[in-house]
Amino acid sequence: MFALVDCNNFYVSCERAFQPRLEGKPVVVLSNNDGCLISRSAEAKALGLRMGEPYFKVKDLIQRHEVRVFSSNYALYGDMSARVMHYLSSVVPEVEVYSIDEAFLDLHGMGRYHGDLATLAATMRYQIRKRTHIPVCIGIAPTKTLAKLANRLAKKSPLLNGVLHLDTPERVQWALEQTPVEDVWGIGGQYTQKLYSQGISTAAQLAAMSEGWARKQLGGVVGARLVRELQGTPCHGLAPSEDGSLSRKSIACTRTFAQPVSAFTDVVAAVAYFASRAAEKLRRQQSAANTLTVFISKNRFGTEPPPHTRSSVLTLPVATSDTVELLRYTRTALKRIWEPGAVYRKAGVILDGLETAGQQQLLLFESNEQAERRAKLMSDLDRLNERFGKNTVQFAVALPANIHAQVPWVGQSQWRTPAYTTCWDDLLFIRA
Amino acid sequence: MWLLLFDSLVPAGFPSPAEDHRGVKLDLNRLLLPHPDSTYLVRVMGDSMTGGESGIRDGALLAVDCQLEAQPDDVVVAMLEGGFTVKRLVKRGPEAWFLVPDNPCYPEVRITEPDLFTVWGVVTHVVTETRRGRLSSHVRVS
Repeated sequence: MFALVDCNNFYVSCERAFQPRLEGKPVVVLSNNDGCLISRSAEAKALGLRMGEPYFKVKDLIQRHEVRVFSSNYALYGDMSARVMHYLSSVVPEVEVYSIDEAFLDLHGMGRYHGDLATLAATMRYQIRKRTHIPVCIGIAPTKTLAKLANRLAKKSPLLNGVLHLDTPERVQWALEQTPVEDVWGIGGQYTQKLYSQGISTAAQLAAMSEGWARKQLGGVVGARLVRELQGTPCHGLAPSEDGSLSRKSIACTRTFAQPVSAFTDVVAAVAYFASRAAEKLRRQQSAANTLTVFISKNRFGTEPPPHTRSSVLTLPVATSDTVELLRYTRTALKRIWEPGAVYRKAGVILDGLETAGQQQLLLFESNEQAERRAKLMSDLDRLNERFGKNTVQFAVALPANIHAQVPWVGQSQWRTPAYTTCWDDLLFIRA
Repeated sequence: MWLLLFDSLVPAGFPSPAEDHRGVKLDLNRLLLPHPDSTYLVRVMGDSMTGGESGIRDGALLAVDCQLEAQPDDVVVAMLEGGFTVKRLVKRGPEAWFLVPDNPCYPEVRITEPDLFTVWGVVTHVVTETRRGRLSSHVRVS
């Protein structure tokens, strides 16, 4: 049995944990630089505010209904997420941190110690709420795909009290019938259309198809696994990190700019800044990346035709966490996609294929001595920035041409709440 | 022939008799934050708890453990009518609960509508300064 624990409206819930007066009121959290809506309370959803909607487009609606708006406060969300994840790993032996607000649990054999798994889930839900004040929903099922589906239904139906355990074939069948096919984990927009055109509109209909059909129609072995998972045969195991730490499998640093950027030097500086930050994160969790993606986006609400986003992916010869190396590759990747004269609104760097640092495949002809000196340089750099504050020492390429100007990619977050849990100056004040 | 290596410098003088008894440094976190995942540090503003047994003064730093079940007479951070407050949770009679300030100059609150009241966490430790120091310097201006 697998469980999926998913925090409800995670960013909004983090804000509410420290501002109880927001309970029951419509609340939204905006992405970096206050660009788009990335978390909405149930009340905000009911007003018709949609995920990913740009703030400027819904500003009127927000003001009319007195929706409380917050800039994202990742220091807070990261700390609260760690609290939830640490609690989960104290209860069950294997946890796969799937995202900042979601985790898969392996519950095999847990019934023997805890009795009914739904009761165990209810306890976990209660404890997380008590410890972090964050509401979660938990879906339990024989496969990860079904656990995801159960979680979605637990969220939708308040009668379930946040927990749904698909413990009998009848319940699985019922859950499949309740789920539109586009809400199945792994079914994207493209396949949705294809499935609908063949008369398949629910997860139950998809689960009734044969494996051979899925192999043909849904992209080979991936589709076959998807259908088998829906039928109750586990094809995906848990993927907890090998060393038991809760480190991530990919690291992204992306921003919407406060002001549009078009000069090459500015675009380079922005992505170099993101690459430096991502490299820092990489070193903090002692990983090295072997795949680098750089993307830049134009204004998707402008008059220009799509594509608004271009990206370029590089496979690195050796997995690395060295900022110098990553900056060099970032520049190469950017050169392939940058167009002169275009105006960019957003950019990002994503590092994938993470390996444990020190265990990566080495190049045949690399000098070891230089690599060691570079590793020392990086750790000294991190120590300086840790001790004297973020960006005390950074690479010049990551600085804007005019260092006194407002940096558009570090930009605005007008409504950010204090970092209540991670900063002495920001601690919550309580009236006595 | 084997030579024994002594792993400490012996300057011309007497070796430290404390060498064999070196302990680990005391870690205040273990005292104040036994449950780091469920404990939050908060600051107090106001003097409704001043003068009593809790020793909570204006500006004090509190460790609040949210996994503990509040018992009668615990000092708690409570959510009351949409805001936070720190008070002593007192039970008088079978079902009568009160939020009582330690400072007698302030009124106590009877919890009449349990729906509008929740215990956010239980205060386990109080840190204050007897001399202006780092704690006083971390006061948010807003």
